[in-house]
Amino acid sequence: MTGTEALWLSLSSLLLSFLVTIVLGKKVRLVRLTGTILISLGCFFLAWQGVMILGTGQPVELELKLAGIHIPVLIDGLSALFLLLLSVLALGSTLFAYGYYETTETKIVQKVYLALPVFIAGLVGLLTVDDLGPGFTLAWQLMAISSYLLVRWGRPIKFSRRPALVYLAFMEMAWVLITGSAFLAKGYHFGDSLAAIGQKLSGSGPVATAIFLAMLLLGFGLKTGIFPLGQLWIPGAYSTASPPVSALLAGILEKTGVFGLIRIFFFVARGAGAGFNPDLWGQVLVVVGTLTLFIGTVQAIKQSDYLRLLAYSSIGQVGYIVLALGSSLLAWHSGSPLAGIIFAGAVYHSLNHGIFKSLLFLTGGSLLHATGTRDLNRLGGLLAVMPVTGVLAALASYSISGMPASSGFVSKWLMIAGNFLAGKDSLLLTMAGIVALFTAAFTLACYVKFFGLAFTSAGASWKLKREIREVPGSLLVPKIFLAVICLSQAFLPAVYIRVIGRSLAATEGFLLTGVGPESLKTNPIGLRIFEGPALLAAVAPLAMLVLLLVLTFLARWLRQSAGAKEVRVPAWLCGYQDLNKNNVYADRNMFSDLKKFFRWTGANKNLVIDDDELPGSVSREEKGVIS
Amino acid sequence: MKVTAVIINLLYFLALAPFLEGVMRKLTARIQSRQGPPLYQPYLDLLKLLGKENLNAAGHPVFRLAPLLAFASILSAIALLPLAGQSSFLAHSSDLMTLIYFLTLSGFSILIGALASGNPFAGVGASREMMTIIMLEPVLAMTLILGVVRAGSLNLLTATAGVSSARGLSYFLMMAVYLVALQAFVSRQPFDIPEAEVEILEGPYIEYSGPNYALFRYTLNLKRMFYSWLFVVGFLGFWLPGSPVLNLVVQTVLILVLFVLISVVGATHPRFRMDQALRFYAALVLLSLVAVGLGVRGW
Repeated sequence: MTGTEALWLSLSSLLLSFLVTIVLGKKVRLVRLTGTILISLGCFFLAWQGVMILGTGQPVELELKLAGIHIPVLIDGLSALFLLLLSVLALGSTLFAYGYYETTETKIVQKVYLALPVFIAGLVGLLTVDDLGPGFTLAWQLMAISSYLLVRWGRPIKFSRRPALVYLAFMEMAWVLITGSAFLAKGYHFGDSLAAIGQKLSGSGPVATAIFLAMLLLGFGLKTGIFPLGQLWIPGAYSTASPPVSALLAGILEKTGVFGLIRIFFFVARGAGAGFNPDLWGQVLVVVGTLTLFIGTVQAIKQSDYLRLLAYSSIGQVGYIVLALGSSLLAWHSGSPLAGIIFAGAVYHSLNHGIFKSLLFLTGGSLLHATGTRDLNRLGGLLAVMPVTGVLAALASYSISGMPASSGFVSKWLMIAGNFLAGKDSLLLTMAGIVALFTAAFTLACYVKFFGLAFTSAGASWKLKREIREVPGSLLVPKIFLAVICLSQAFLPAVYIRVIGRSLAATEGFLLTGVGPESLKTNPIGLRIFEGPALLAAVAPLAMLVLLLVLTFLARWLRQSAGAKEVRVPAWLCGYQDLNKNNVYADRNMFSDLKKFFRWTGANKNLVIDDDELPGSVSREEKGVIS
Repeated sequence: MKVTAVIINLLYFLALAPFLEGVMRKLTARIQSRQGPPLYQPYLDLLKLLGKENLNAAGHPVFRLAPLLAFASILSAIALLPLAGQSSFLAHSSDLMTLIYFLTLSGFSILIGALASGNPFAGVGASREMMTIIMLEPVLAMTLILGVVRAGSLNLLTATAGVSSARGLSYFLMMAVYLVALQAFVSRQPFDIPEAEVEILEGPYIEYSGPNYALFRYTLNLKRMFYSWLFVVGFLGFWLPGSPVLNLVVQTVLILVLFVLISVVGATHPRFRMDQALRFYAALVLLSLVAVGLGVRGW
């Protein structure tokens, strides 16, 4: 089976899933089952196709003819890489959705299974079409309208109407910006391939090129969620859509924006020649990325709604990627070999963030499924009743915080370290690197809050009326699947970096020429991840883990050395009373001074309304916080 | 041979850290006209705690894991240090960022242990501790980054040497900022806000006792020694002798001097409120940003 055949099979499975859902009508059990099987099959073929292209190193070029319109399709190494990410995440979300929608009402389930395959097909289209005209429009509209519907059906309509409409409005605005931008190229014909647009751009002068790039930065930036555009729709949409859909939105929809930015600034811009000023655009991306990552993460800290917290934190993480793309451009412009390393870091972080953010959203989904609340103030102590979900949440939180021996550490390290070294003579890059490092501590704070107050601490057993149980196996398996990939990203960075290098080698017209697998091995940074034989290269993060483990055993030995016995006691509250719902430390108190200090970053409104509450009846105010 | 170097790192810190606390306690007592415990008291305290019952208020595995992780990660950070001017055996699979993240991991373990205990006082302490980490970590990072900017490498040996390789405006500014921040790094008055005994009863550690508390105490001692060590090696590194043994002796003496300074400031200052401290830290962060900026410009 060749790559192209696999792609067709994949799209056919998705189409079949759509049709079968229509035919089956109200038999929702069957709808869920067939939908899950067919979409999973589609994901399998998609992954097959990605592996084939990366394996052979041969890009696939096609020319589709639909009703007299020509649509150029190009699947090169970069597309294949993002398609692989898409297939993994779509598989995880689909499997999760099977169990998640078990208790949802019939009408919603039916509609969700109509929209889901269309949404995935739209994403496949966005990663494969090679124009800014008809093909792009088709893929974009499939993606936008189906995901608008999915957002709309994520919560009761009184909560979801507004965020869903806002989401659709911004997606359409982005579509206008992106398709409109191409008309700035002299002699542009609606439906030209990206390479052709690049060439035509070289004849249209620097001003037109600059406006072209600005429009595309805004368009794809809207989708990626750069500051301040992301704040307009991301928190609303991600917290409204049901968690398996949010996992796809945050995991891959956002990354198609990153993919677009890469395509524009590292491929099309190359064709533009002298009209493209890498210094200027590098600086723009660095400034925008730094603002995005800082403000997004600080805003995330302020949220008590864990789905909104995850949404804001997605904005923050994407900021890292945009910053890295910018500094890669700047490093390339100054002739530094670090450009390739920072770029690889950006792609690696896209893959990592896709996996752990999906895992976090699925964790959020499990919490919602088990407790029925999205309010961190009402949770606490869940680790005792939901141990598996808790451990997986800990892994994802640990990874996204970028702590040592985690996948987030490797990719953030590549980007930030590259920034510092490339910034040896550039104040901008050094400052951006410092803000990025500073923000890593905010990310940690954010996830300490998320994990600490939901899973450890205490409170859920008093504040929620229902009995909380671990979610069923069908909701655990997809999370375990993602967690395994997340671990492999942490401990086999050399393999992933090689795959990224390979995908770039199978991609024509890349700006940073010579950044194939070979040049990624010569690494001017202190750490030798890429040098030496593959086995040795893979063990650098492992060495740190071994160090930590050995010392943990030392600590354990020390603790046991005098044979101390453990005794279970109640918490001590100065002799007043037992721990109960009136005296546990609730989420709104966390970091209250810091929140006040960073009030100017916005998103201070922190009112959580659960699905079963009326908007007017909720009055949990921020008064009387304990600092 | 190479592994022994790592062990020497660990032993040096493990052996000396409680003694430094003894110095601090003795000096504080003398300033407050008390007799004070003998210098070896912290060793006895640790031994005593190890023999006590381990009280567990949470029943979470997290509660039990936190002290282990806190102690192990601060030791991991120490294992990476270029002690006595010698690059660590682990230098080829670690660098400055690994060090910074290990330090954060240690702070993080204390927080998560505190939250796991479910005690609201611990919650307040954890919240304060995290805010302190957020605002202070950049000062530490920027000190090292000043070295990176000078040396062009993230290797710990070259980066720490880089800090004092040129002693211009940026060097003195950063040194001043670090000295002020040191008091907060070691969480002594006026910055012992996360623990604040008389206010929130040792905050994060309130539910910990016996061997678990011993591990946290030890972690705190090691952390204090680490930050003083970094000041000596970073800012006075150019002044240390080349021979490893002599280097180590001079280092130790300088660390002792620094502890005298910390004790005197700690014993004579009242505690800040958290919001006051945040403003103070923000000023330190801005000043260290200026210092790095000057460093990039070559001043």
